[in-house]
Amino acid sequence: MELSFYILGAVVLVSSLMVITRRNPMHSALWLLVTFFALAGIYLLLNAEFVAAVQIIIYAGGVIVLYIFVIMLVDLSKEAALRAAFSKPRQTLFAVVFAFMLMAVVVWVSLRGIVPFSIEEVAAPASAADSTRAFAKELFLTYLYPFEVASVLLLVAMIGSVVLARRGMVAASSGEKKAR
Amino acid sequence: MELPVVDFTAVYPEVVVTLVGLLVLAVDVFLKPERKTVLAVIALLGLFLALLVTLAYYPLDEVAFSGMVAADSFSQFFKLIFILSAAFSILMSPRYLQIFNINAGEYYELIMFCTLGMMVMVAGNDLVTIYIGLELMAISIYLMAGFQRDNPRSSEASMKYFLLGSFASAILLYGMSFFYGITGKTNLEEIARYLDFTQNMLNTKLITLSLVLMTVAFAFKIAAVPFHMWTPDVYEGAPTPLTAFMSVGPKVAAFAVILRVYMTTFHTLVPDWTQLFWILSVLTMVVGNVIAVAQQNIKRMLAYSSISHAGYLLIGVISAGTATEIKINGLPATSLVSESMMSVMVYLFAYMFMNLGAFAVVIALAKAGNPRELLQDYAGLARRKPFTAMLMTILLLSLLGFPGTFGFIGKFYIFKAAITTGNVTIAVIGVIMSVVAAFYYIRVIVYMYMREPEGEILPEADFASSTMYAVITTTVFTLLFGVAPGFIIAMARYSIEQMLA
Repeated sequence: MELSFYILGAVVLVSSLMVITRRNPMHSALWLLVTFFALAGIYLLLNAEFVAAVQIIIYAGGVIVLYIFVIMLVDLSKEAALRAAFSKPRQTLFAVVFAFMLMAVVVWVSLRGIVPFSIEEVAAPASAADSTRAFAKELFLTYLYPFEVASVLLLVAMIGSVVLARRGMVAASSGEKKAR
Repeated sequence: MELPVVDFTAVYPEVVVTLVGLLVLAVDVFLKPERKTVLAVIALLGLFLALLVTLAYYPLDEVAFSGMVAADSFSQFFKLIFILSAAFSILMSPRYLQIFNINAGEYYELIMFCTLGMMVMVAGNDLVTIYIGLELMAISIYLMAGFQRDNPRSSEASMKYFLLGSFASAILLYGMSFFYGITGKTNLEEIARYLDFTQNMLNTKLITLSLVLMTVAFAFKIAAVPFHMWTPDVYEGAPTPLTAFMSVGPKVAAFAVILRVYMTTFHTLVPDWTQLFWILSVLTMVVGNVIAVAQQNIKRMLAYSSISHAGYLLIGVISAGTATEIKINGLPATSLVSESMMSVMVYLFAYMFMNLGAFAVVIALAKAGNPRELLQDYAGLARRKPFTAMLMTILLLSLLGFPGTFGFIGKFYIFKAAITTGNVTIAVIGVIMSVVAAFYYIRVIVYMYMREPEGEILPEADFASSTMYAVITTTVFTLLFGVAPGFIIAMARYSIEQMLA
């Protein structure tokens, strides 16, 4: 158990280092995929098989595809210009300082922690096989209302993307008319 | 496994608004572009139905959907404000959409869904419900702000509001998740029980931090200084009917949530949050009013004026907070608490009518290709359009808080609450700032009645009747409730008694 955690942890560390050090962005995206799978493994070790499945379906399946689309749409022949735009020494300084501050907070909190205290009796945590069932019960019974409202939220987001996409089309078609 | 019966009675108004929104979405597909006004009619009828349903279920007092929704008269009171403000915004839209070439279909849909979001938010009895409602409201508005396609300012407004709004949402989530981390609960009542039980002895710093984070996010939504930076640009760039809508809806919704969450859940943290709101309120009143004086664009001026109104409203919230700590003969001063909360609710109702009305006048004067938003465009208006100038005068006097208008009733109760709860300093600052406000409100009136227009006189466009209906109705209500506010005050008192009981 412990050994598999160390192996997965090492994979996560190495692959995330590879993500930020590769020159080819496509390689970075693929290394990120490895990171996501290793993280899913860690979730499995924590008896959270639902989170692990979601991690693979959404991050490895959806988010990475999105990244790859973006990488393919960006014109990489202007790499030098991009590099110049993103390498500003002052920004690097800020980034490093804030990264260290964040790290310090994370370490401090993990060492001290918040005082765990519950005013009610805590139910025993669900066993691994039951975590998906427990999650579904919470989602579809307790949190039914926000869940349903979230569907309207998605509808609005969809309408929005149609509006934004059509805006480009309308502009293009009116431009064509003018050209004629 | 047995599924529990889902009881929809608690959310009938929301159901009506959702169904009407979907109906508009469906009908939109079958309509020719020139007949899109039908959608406005459908939306208005739907909102009228929702208004009736809300009134019919006004005395309701129950917690539904396993503690997610509080269907009490407090939320019904605010639902009335949202439904009315959506209806007025739709009423003033058709002509504006036509002359500025905005696609009507999605516009009305998004207004309906935005209204739904605000209704979910005020009825939220759980941090999750409140957050989902807030996001629904915010995303609809980000989209609508950018609807004026050929205007780069509109896109700028949309982008700015989207970026800053996302940050605000993230900060709100930080605060909420800290509370969840501390208490293990998202339900407002359970969090309140936890805070009561521990008396803030555990994780004191973390609780303060999360309180501050949540306050920052709400301050962004009500556009309180120093979280107001987006307001003037977004209000100026967005299509004017939408500016009217977003200057009222999200602000009212955020105040409703502040009242519910801070008064019922964070009542053990009163000394902390009254301090925060004190600073915010003073800054908001001073900065909002002083910068408004310098504005030459009416939309920007109204934006700063709406910022300053958030400052006055915060005075009411502070009084409500301090009132919970006052004891008369060793007993808690419940009447002071409810009077202070009532002042905020009545002010919000008044603010809805007068602010929507003022924006409706701006819309009525807009012409194709020339939005006519500069102060200069109002010079000599009284001679060309005496009736419109008169209505604008009444609305501006109400915003100023002139006796005889609804705005005066709002300000009166706010300052009265502040003085009776011992917040005299902030009440004095508020009154002084109202005097500053008189300068820029009355300046518009002076321009309309006493200035001659410079250069060539542009004739006003034919006024679309629906926009004028909105102006007239809001003015009539402003005057009517200014003389006889008893009905609104009684409704507000009733719902507060129910909530605090």
